[in-house]
Amino acid sequence: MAHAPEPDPATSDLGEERPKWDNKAQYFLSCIGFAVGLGNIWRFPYLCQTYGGGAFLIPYLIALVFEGIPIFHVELAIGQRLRKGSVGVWTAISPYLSGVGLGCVTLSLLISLYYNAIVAWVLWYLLNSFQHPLPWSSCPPDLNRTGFVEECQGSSAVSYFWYRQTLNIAADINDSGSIQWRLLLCLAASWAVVYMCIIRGIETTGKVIYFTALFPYLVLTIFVIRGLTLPGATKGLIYLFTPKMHILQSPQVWLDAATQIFFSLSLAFGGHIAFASYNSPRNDCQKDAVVIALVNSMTSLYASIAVFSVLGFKATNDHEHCLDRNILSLINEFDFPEQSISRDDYLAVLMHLNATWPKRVAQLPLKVCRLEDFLDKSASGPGLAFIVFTEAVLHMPGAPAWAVLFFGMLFTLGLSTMFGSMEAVITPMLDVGVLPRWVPKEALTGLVCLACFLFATCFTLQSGNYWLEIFDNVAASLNLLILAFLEVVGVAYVYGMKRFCDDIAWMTGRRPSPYWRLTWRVVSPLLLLTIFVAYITLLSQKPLSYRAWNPKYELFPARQEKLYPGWVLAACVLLSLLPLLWVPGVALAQLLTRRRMWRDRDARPDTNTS
Amino acid sequence: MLPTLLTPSCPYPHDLPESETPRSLPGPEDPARGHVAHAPSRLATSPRSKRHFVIPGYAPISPASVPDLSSNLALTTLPLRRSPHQLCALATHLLSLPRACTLTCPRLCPPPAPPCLLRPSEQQGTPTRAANAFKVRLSIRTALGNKAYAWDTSEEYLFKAMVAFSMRKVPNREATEISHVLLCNVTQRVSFWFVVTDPSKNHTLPAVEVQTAIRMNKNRINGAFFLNDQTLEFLKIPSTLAPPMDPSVPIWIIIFGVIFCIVIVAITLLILSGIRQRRRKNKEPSEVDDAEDKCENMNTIENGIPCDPLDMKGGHINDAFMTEDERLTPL
Repeated sequence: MAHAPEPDPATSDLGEERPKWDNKAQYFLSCIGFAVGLGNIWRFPYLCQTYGGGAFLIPYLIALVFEGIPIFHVELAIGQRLRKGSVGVWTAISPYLSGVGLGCVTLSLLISLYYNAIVAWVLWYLLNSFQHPLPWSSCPPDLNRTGFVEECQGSSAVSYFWYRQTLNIAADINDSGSIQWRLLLCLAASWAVVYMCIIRGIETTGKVIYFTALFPYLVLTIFVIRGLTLPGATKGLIYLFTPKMHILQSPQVWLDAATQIFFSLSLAFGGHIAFASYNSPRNDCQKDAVVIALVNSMTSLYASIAVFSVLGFKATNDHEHCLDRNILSLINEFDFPEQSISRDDYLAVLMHLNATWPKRVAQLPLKVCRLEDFLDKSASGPGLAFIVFTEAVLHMPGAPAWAVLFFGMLFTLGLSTMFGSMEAVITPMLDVGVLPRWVPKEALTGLVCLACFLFATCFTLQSGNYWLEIFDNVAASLNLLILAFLEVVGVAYVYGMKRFCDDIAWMTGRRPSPYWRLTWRVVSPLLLLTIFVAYITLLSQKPLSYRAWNPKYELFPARQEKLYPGWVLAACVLLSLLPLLWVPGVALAQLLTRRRMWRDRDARPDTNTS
Repeated sequence: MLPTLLTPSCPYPHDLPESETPRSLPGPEDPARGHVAHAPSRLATSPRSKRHFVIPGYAPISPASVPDLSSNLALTTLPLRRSPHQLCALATHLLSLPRACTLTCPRLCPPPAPPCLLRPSEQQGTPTRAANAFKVRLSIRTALGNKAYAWDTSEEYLFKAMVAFSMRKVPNREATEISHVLLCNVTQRVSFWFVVTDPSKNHTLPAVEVQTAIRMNKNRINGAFFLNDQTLEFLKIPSTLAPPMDPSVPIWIIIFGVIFCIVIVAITLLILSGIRQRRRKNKEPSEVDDAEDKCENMNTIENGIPCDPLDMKGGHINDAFMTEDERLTPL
């Protein structure tokens, strides 16, 4: 069993002093920036709305207390205590477990690839927000300028801008199409910005983090204030937060709450371990863990207030437009004077007309306009940011300013998460010494960023969006769950609970309470195992399919459900297994090396000294 | 100005099927009507701030009378809350209004019930006339709000003038006069039908020509009425959309260029400063070694004088006059 080295603040394997945070605030903000990401904005509000509003907070808080905070504390504690990146930490805990560290590094690398592609999309929208009118406000005219482009006419200007003018998406994952140079430029720019910020590790990250971690809060506050003053905002908020307790009976809610808290805190990346390793050893990591996790959850709630007040405004707006279109149809058909039917009178007048002139009314394209239908039209993920919210912003006075603020916020959120995941890759590389000592850190960072950029160009293909979705849903999620499980079990059982509690007592000045010991030993591993099993069950229940944007589909603009072809699934399985292969692979390698060493030692008994 | 034409009539291919007649509803229509006050006012003057149901006054329009919409239709407004009976009366009233006719086709405004139209089949020998007519719909109040003007005969005259002007732009049609344009069936919506006739040949101009002429001059027509393509609609004539405003260099490229240049400059500066720092650090170990040697010598030569970087202090401070606190050697 390996013996953990005594904490040595002065030197590290680098042969020079280990970098330190300039002050506690930088470390705090870096962890918060890493934890608070795009998911807080576009995943949590959607889950809240789908799973019964205020009632969702119950499973969410339970998952936070029994799963999120304990695992988070483990990561911070081992990073701070052992003062290494994830590879070094796991090698120190047990050489057989260093595969876990390598798996974390590989996984962080894979996730950075597609995460920065999303940041590139956000950058594209940000760049396009500096004009009036916004380019997604109207459809472009067709070739002979008698009407709008057919694809745009069939769906909407916002969808057209996203699917056609941004992604230029293919109708199938099989046809990769060509690289979209616009997205390639934005991808290059986002990797350049990431490189600029992590070029010298936490020295540069620590300066930039003040802006990238705090700017989103400023923008969220502005949006909350603006959102609450918009007409219809209160309807959206009431609809969101009205608790529907009966939904809690479905197990899907609990599963989603647990996965949300897990991914929201960015656990099992190795990023928190890396950040904590630059701390001074006697830092109260327990308090940090609790505070950062709570800040992350509060941010999710705050963001959902902003998002849903804007969405409520949008739903009210759409409802009014729906009524206005119907009223216009009636007025045009029966030649009533303009504006003679108000929205309140519409239903009564319609009833009367239907009774007197049913045939004429029947041939009109009248739609049913119910506010609840519009409020139900929510979305999560890129759909929320790039379609629903962009459309809502169009109706707000001063639309370009709001678009700039919104996409600027998303950009900084994505950036601060990228810092964490890149740090999770680079710190272990520096600790292990992948490149010789004389190679400067800037060169290593540059090489990693360049390699990632080149690999990520596959996401700028026309089928890139489909690949990104399957990466996100399958490859990333399963690996994170398994690695987190191995982390908790590794620390609780392999490292030893007693030793771990001693370390924490040395660092924070007090032993962990029974709550911590119970959750580390029993509750968190069990929860993670349950989530993993449930995830696998859900995935295997039906064949994996994706929804393609196909203009030639009969039910266009609905997305066409297609099954993934075999080679895509094979590629995904490979990518899922790659990070995990390190764990048994390294353990096996260690076993073989040890066995050879023992055999050699046994073969030469006279050279053995006590 | 009375038309000098005898034969042409306003073709009116309306979609009102013969079988459909308004079904009467039971309801106290008369009492509701009785409540309506009779106040002469213009179409456009109902206050826009309140979304009221404007009720035409009770006075029925006698078809043979001067069809000045503004004086015939008495408008008044009711408060927002009204009973189902009142709404029912409203709608029935609107529907039962005979359509007003303009002076230009008085023959087409026959007495009482039938509206001013002639079925194409009733027209002898001109089955295609209906196809050459276009319906126009104006939404003045939507476009102008409080500044909306009333649609009267003068506006119609202007409209006819604009159509004649558009036709004059078509080759071979430079002789079109205002009197050749016929309007018919003006409704409260402000929608009507028009057709352009050719008096010499005694037929209506083909639809394609009219369509081309209107499309070419839509902007001028819109401007004359302060409307746009959405508020002045020629049904069956699609308007040419404005070309997209494409600046020569898209705005996003400009901003992208600015950001990218800043980032590249920042990266270069950081790399250069990193190189400089490393060079300084490489030089320092050799300097520190020299100072340490000097220190060693000093310690042996001058007892107890602390081994400061003597380069800095050499000659400036007289170590012999150090205060007691600064002296590090124990006495």
